[in-house]
Amino acid sequence: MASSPDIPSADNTPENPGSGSLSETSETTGTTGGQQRRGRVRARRAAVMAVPATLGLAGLAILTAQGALGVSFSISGMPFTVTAKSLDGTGFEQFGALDSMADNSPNAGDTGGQVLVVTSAIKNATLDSLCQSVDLGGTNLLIKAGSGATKVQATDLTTDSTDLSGDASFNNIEIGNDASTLTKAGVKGPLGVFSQQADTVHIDNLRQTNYATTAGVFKLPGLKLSFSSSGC
Amino acid sequence: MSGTDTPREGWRPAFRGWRARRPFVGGLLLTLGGMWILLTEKASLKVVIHIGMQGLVGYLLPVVMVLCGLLTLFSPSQRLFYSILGVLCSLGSWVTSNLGGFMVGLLLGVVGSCLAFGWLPDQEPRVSRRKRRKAARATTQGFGDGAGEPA
Repeated sequence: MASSPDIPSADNTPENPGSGSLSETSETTGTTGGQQRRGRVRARRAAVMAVPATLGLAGLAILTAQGALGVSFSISGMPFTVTAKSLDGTGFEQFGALDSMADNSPNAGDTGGQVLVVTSAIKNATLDSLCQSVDLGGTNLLIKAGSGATKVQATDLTTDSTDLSGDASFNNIEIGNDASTLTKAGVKGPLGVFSQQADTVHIDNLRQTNYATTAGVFKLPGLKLSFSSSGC
Repeated sequence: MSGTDTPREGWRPAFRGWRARRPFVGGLLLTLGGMWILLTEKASLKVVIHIGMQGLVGYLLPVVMVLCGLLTLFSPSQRLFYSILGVLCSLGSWVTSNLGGFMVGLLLGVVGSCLAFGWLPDQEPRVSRRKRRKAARATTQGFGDGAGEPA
């Protein structure tokens, strides 16, 4: 596959074969390329790689859509919305934090480059009818999954959200801990910040606007990717 | 032909010549794809470390893509290795990095790698199909005339 019968010259960066003088090379680069032989893409050769690559991509997409493969997300700095019909989680933590953006970030606006966010961490979560939308500048990419019999599984789900709404119920909740003493989901917050944690959490009609970071490993059965002008 | 003319022509023809000697579009697309993926996932390091190995790999693969793209441009003789590594990293980024930067970076990377893989130096200048057909017709006609003349 790698050896090609149709390479005309053994040298990969062709010099001018005429004379080896130094002025000759500068001349050939200077001319408009009339007599210089340019390299170019051979379609059949490119297809040797394009066909397996396409098959591989299709395989990955199918495995993901069947929920066999977990895909990992870590998004930040983009407006990003997550909605779900219901969320069941074990190991829940929540605390406030201050997120700072990169200098001169176009997303900063009049916030001075800092946003107050709520960091939620869930160790294991099961989401029903997950819908994620990402604003890609004009169009939204919609990722829908888990509307069928098998639900979306997410592990180590950590989000810094500016806006979180839903009907939540907690089990064994401890409110008012110091954020640096949290234990349930394995994330430690800054010292001296209000926080809460719970053993299990159930949220109906979840809606999160994640301005900052969303991260986690998702298993997305029934994956559907589409572009749309409106988000979730 | 005088070598003294070349400095006056500026950088454009020089760039053209430089571009002709390497898989320029392929390397460029692969680099852009890696950069796009990095752009979509600039999560803070603390969160990445919390996620563990998979979070780190999510950064590693696009960085390797960018490096492969740049090396394809600046060391084109090794393009086969770089393009194979690039396409594998592009495909792997589906799993590790936001579905390959929401498909966009992944597609750029795969297309760029394929172009870099299919590129060959020192080719005949491109001839359009219509021109080729016309040339073929002209030669057959020429043969016909040539055959007709001696008779």
